[in-house]
Amino acid sequence: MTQREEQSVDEFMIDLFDEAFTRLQAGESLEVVLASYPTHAAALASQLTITARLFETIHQPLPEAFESWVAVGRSMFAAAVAHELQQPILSFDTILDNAITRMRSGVPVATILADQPDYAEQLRPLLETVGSLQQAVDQPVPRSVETWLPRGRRAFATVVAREMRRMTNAAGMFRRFFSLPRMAAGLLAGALVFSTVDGVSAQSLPGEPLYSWKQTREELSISLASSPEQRSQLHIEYIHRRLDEIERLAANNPESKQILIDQTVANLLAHARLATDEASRASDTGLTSSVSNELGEATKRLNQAVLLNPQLGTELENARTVVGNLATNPPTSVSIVTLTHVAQPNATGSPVPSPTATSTSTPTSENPLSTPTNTILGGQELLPTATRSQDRQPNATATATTFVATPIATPTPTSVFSPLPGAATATPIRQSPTDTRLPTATPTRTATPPPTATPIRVTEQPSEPLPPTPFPTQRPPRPTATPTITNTPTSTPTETNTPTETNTPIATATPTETNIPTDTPTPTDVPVPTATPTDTQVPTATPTDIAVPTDVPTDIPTSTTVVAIPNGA
Amino acid sequence: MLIANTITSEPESDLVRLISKAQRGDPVAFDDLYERYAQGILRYLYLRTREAESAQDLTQEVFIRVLKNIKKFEYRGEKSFLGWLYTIAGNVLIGHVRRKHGIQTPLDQNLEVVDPRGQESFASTIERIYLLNAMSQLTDDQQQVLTLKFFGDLTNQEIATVIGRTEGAVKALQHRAILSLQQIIEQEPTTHGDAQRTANA
Repeated sequence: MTQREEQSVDEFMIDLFDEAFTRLQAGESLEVVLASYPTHAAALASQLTITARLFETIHQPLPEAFESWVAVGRSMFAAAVAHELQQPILSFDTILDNAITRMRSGVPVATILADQPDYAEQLRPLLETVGSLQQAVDQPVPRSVETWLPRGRRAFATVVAREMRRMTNAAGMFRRFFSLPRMAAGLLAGALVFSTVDGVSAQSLPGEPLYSWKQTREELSISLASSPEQRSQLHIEYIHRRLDEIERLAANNPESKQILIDQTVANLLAHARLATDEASRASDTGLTSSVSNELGEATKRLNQAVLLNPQLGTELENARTVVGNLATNPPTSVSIVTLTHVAQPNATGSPVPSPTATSTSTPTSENPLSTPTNTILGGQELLPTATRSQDRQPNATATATTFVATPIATPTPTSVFSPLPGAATATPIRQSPTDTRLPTATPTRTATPPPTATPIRVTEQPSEPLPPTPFPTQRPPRPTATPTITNTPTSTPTETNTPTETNTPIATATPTETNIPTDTPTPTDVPVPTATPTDTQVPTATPTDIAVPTDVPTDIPTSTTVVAIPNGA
Repeated sequence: MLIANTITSEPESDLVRLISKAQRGDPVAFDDLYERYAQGILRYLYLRTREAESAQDLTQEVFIRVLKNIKKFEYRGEKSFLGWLYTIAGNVLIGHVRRKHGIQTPLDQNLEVVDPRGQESFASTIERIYLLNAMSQLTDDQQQVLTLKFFGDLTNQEIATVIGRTEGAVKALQHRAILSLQQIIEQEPTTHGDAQRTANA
């Protein structure tokens, strides 16, 4: 038998045994299996017998005790599993916490430690400390300490009550807190408005709403000045302000601002007088020359204004003369001059009456002056023109002659200081005639062509029989100025009489007829100017206005106005 | 537990109303709160300071802080209020200790040792005093946890809510606190030994 043949025999026997083993495992008996392989039964018998006995042993049932042990073993195994798994999950923090919890619930420390044999040594000192701590916490406090509690309670109640009051007050404070900022805000807003108004008013011109504030501020500054030097400088400053204002007013349609310009000029003159007065009061002798220089500058500016605006009339020219005189011949006496406010025009265009000041001079021995007085007419302080001295009368008359035809000029034998009389009556009169009368008068009587000429120009015409209308209306306010002089008890009549000569022109000035307004309205006589009868109507109204002032000055000996005379007559 | 006995437990709804009234500025509510909790706070402060006057002053300070801060308190159960109260007390005490640079237990002065049980040795009483004194040497968090646990009788979860930490953190703090206390006591053998000797004598 070859090796190959031997190998195939072994494999066959193995396969045959495996088949027989499987049949035994399946439950067939040894005898049946062996009978199935009669050829190889002898070879398989020993091995299959052992296998059959093994199977019998394996399938032999366990003893009763062994069966019951399985449950025990199972629980033991579960405990073992739990023990093995619990150890890594529980930290010592938790073990201690569990121990503390058990300890505080009354479990003896020994029991706790026994339950944690692995951590007993670590837990022991800590649990002792916890025990001590618990005892410390549980220990009673001295009775004397706790008997304080009622007093502490009362004290706390007092604190609570005080706190509640404080909170209530705090609520009030809260409200007040909000009122304070409101006040502060109001003050701030007021200050803001004040500064804004002040700033804007500095640039305002006569006739503008804030101009009054500007003048009030100036007067306030002057009143707060502590020395004549300071006051004099302020007056000089305000002279230049007035000059600026005049120039600005005259820059655009000056005719329509005649009144404002005149009033500004009057204010300028007042400042000029006061500047020289203050300078004469000052201890600084150099101040007078300084003021003179400033007034000289002002004169130049006035002169330029006159040249540039010849239509603005005599007020400006008079101012130039007066300021020039003040610059060259500072007064040796102190005159009392009060400032006048430039009237603010009301809605109708007529200026609101504003007080004007009269200037009064104290006569000196060698140089008697017309009397000073500040008079108030009808509550309006007037700013009359006081004759400064007799010496100057010639000058005054000279001017009077030059303005003879003009009712304005004639009455003022002396340097005229701002008429600005009873304002209300003045304004309408002045404006209306310029607009209306001219056409009627000039064409017929005179050859002067331009009917547009201002009354002043018309008056420059020789004292002709007249076109009466313009003249009386020309300067109606004058009368208001004069009464101030008359009222002054100190007025020296002799001196004031002098103007009578100057009055002559006025007397001659038939304006008496002219006063009759009824003449003027009749433009029908006038062939040429058919122009605007409506306009001519206006003057008719004005004379009546003029009549008002005439009532006042009836007593006046020096009635400088044309209007006054006829009425007095 | 003594602490639990000192703090009268009333229905939570009563406490809610009480706190609500106090938050609206009702003086009577403050008086009721004082009546209910002042004894426990006084106990705590006295045991920590061992100074009657200081404990009384600090108790007043605690309730004044309650008065001023009650509107900020958010009610989440009675234990939350208790925890808040003891937290204030702990802070007041910490401030007091810092002002005094540590509480010096007046062993040789007018120490008033109370031992109602009469069975405990003087030494153990001294040990408790030292123990509470030693608490001042812990960190603020550790002190707070021990205070809330042992004086306020709060659970770990409640303590965690009060101090804004996790429960695990509370356990860790508690562990370190007790360990520190043990070590502090062990590090004072001389004084402690003296007390022991005095007690034995």
